Amino acid sequence: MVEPLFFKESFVKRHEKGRKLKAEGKLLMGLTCTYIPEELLIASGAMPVKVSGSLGGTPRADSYLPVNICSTMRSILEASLKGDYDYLDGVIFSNSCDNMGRCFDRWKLHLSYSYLHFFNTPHSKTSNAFKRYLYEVKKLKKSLETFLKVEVPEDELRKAINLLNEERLLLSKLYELRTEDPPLLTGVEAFYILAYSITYPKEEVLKSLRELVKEPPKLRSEFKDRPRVLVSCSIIDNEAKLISMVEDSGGIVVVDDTCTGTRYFEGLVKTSSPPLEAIAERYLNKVPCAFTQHGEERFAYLKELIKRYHVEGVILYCVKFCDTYLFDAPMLMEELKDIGIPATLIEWSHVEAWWAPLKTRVEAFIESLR
Amino acid sequence: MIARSSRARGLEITKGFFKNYVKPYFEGGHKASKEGKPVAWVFSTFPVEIAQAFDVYPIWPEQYACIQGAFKVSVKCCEVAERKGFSKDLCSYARNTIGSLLRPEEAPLGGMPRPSLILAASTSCDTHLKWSQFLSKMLKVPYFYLDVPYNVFGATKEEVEEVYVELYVAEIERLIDFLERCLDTKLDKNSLKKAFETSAKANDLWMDIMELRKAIPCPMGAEDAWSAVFFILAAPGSRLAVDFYTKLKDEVASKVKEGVGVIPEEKYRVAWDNLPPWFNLGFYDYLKSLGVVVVIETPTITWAGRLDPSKPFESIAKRQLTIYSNSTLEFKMRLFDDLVKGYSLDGFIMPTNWGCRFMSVDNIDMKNYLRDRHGIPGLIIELDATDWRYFSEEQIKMKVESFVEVMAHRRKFR
Repeated sequence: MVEPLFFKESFVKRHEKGRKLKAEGKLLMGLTCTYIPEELLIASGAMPVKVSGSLGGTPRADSYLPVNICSTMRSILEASLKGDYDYLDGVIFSNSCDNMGRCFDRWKLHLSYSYLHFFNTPHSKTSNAFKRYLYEVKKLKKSLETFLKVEVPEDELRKAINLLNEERLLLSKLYELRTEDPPLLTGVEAFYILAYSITYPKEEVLKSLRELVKEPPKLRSEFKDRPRVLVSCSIIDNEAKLISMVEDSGGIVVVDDTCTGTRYFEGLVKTSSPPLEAIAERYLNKVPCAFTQHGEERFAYLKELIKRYHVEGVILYCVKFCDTYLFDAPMLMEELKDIGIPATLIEWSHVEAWWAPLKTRVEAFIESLR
Repeated sequence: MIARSSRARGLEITKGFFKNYVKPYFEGGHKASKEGKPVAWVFSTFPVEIAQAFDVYPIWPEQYACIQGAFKVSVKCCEVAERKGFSKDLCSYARNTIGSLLRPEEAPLGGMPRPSLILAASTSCDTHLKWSQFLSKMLKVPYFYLDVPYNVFGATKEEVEEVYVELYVAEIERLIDFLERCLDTKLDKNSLKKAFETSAKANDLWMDIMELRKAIPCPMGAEDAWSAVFFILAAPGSRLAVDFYTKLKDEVASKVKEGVGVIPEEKYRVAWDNLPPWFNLGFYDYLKSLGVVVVIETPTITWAGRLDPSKPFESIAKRQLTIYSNSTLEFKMRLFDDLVKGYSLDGFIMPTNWGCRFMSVDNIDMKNYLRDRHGIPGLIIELDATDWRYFSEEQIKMKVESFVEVMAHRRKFR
């Protein structure tokens, strides 16, 4: 049986694990975004690792980035400059937002990974966008094959598709455990399950997820009758403080709309279509991030989550200077108001000085939901 | 009467530019809108020539935001948008225009002419997508977003990937289909040819004028260029643009011939890498009082460019894909190399524009690059193009004075 705490403990040790794997000859590749198809990495023998930055100051990154760049990309740059990701063989960026796309230049200039690739993700999903995504998939495949000196046969791609589809299904099943009252997993626990899944070898991830699905945590009555909260944002900080603040204030996070949550696993790759086309189709049509042209679909998806998870309040956690989420926020707030769901917009940053007032705001919001 | 932000102009043609050109242009838009003719709000870097081929009257929301800045109503309008929930950190052009719609009584020129279409492109920034989409939703107006790849290794027009050019052209075809459906008309090939030929002429004239600014002393400063760029952005495929730039080129050329510069004693030639503080254009007078002339601006020289009307789609695809706002650091380094040499620069002024990520993100690296590669100083100042709450004049002036000292010192030992 696997305890929820296992995932947190493993995630905390992710860099040690990465170094160990590297020493064993494994090839590890960092990813900045959920729009980069992990299938290609797995099929070519590389292990995908979603990169993230920690809370706190970013003195190294600050010497290259002006003040008005988001703290998500700043903190990832800091982590790399500091050597946290010294075990990665390379990093793949995505054309997701200006903050991410433009920070790629800092990596080209100030870091010395032997492999840096830019995945030119479209922001729409027209037939032209599909052609473009497919072109990028083929380009990434070729680029990995050249770098790793391998050839990726179709059956390896199919295996990778099946493996990731299984991971997606398992994560969906675990999320289902949160639809009940009390939810069988807290928001913090669910966060670490995801955080672990996107930073550990998939074989280990599948094994732990299968066990947890088979034997989920016991019902804990202390989580019953708490205000049920959905958090929506780009990412959750990697100490899950944004979620802890809700749960320490007496609420419970029952679902999320984040890149470190549902946006990672919702939507399967079709196994009946040719692999590369199927991959392109899944990633282009997955639950959209705010950087895409499909804001309305995201809003509709959120409303669906609100129903399915019996959500009573929504917190929009926008990272300071994250244009795409900040732009969506007023429209989303209005839509939530129209369906009678209380919501609050809270801007945050990885800089610690921000956190004391945030906690007060979260407490006040949870109090208002009681 | 609201006090407008003004500055001394060096050229005859730009004196009264607002009254003689901008105001009539917006009035023309209002008239077209009232008569039921198609008016489109077109966002920067969009291939506006295609819309012009359909006889659409283009209005640039960014330019309207600049007017709000120059009229000093921008902060008031930004605050209206902020009360609606838009963060203070978002692009102030966007906050401005949203504010002007929510509070039309604050909007100069009777607001932006009501559009029948909204057109935006991915070759500028995230803000353009979100902002244009919000406006189309708010006004319930058909919307087109031209989505093309980012020029991630700063390729030149010659180097840009063939597949990316094909993807751009495919988006143009999708755009034509969209316009045909919305306007219930077929594209007239002759109109398309005319729009591109006219735009190519206007762009050639503009690029020639930019070349003329290389002269020492410089015949045309930023204070004139920020106005004069209006038509190359809003309506490059119009006769109006060609006529205006023909006159402008003549005037600038005659200044070069006569050796007349922006100021009697041009001490330092600098480039400006970002947008200006529209609410305080007198800042350029202050620079001139120190003998500093802004001889070129990165937006004005890169948001235009020569076109080949014999290959309209391919040529605009290559130009827009490799445009400043769609390109990376390699592009900027190459551009800065050309500007430093071509314009005999003593320094660069590089504002960090509060609401703009892409125009600010390279500042520190580029400042270091200028020092290491060219031995000239870069001055980073913090401002926002229209939100003066992010503009501390006294502090900036202190920085400018030190910058001038560095340029003076460098000149002594050169």
